[in-house]
Amino acid sequence: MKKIYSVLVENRAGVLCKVAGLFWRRCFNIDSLAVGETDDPSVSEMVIVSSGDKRTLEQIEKQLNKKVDVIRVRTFDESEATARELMLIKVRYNRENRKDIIENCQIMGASIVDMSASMMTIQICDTPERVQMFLDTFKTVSIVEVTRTGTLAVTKCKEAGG
Amino acid sequence: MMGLGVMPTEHPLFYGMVGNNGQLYGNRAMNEADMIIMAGARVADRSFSQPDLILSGKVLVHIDVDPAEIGKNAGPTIPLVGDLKSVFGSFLAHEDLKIDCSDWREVLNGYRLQGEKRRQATEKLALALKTRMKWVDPRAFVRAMSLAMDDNAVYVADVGQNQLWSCANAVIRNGRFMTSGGMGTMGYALPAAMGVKIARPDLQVVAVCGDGGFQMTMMELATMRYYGVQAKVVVLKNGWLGLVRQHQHFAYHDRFSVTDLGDCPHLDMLTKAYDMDFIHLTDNDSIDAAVKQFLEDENSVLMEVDVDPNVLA
Repeated sequence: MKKIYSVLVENRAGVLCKVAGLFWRRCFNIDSLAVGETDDPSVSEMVIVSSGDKRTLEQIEKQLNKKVDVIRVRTFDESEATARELMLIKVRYNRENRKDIIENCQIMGASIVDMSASMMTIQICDTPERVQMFLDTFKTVSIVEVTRTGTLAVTKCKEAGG
Repeated sequence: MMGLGVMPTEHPLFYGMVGNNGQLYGNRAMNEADMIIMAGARVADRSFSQPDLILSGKVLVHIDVDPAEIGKNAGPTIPLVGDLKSVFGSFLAHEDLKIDCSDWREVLNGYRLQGEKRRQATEKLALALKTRMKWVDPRAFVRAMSLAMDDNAVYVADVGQNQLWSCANAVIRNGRFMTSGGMGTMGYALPAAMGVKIARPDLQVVAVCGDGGFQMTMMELATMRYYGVQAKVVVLKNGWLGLVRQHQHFAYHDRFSVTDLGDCPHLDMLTKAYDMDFIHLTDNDSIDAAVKQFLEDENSVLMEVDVDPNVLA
């Protein structure tokens, strides 16, 4: 089972270390972790994707709530969220596969942000599922480097009683 | 273990610890119960080696002030988050919660009687042997000393075999039993006793430790001397890191490794160095006299008790 934890924390040195330390000590899985400042510079938002059984996922939320630096924790599934991930993938191309690569980019809505005679860097920003799907299309291509941000997520917009 | 002292150990409803370090009758009580009410306990691995197995088929009511503890090791049937005082207060306010468990209690008392008879028989034999070999039986010693202590005295236990003897044999009435429990921090007893004595100088405070744990924080005797805090320390000395030695005996067939402490330090010289009184207890017949002298001493005092390294906890 997978869950997304949206954790609002104090923007202070050592907070990331403390939260990561909690996951390390209790052997909780971190599938992905993304953190950044919010509109309030004293506060940061961490989005952690974790997997485990029901009891483990419940413990993660409870233990996060106990941490002094944590202001609030929101737990939700990917289906209840608007989730995005950014990936930059640098590949080596040749005359044979150049067209296919460009077509894939067009189909999946990715853009080519850097290029040379033999390499190109492609950027895609989409749901984590589609990003993974896109990465899988490069199985037959020579990949030089891949870098991903990890999942960012907010709960879907819903008016009360809607 | 951390619940010791919550109620008097001589209370008819007290069946002792459960799990690895509990008596058989305590574990039978838990196994044969239909419902277990757990108040502030964390389902430690020494108490519940296999929580899912032990608790299957039972109704578990888990009361704790920390919601993270509930469901951490054992999924409760009924979780209750709150302060114990207020939770039990609201239980007692319900008229219809009065149930008659007298037949269940009769069964448990039967188990306990059986268990105690067996224990006494084993100890009687051990006592006879020890008297001949010039050792003190630690279990009899702990019981005798705790009985001679004030009703509201504080018994501070360290870690290891000495701790397990203390847990199983100390008689607590209106006082407190303090130990580091699952943390298992050797050297806890002396500085903890110092803390208690500073907070409550009116109470009788006794620290009981082994020679291993004692040596880990024995420098605190200097702190106590400096601040004029009366120290009453018992060192159950067997010359070994007892509990590890016991483990090496069972699991590694007496292939002892790095657990032999030898006979140093000479505690009579050490206590002299700190201007303390010294009592050396070497046989069972002298227990009562030595305990009396120890408890009545106005000065700081250390009692060394010779214990056979082969006694198991």
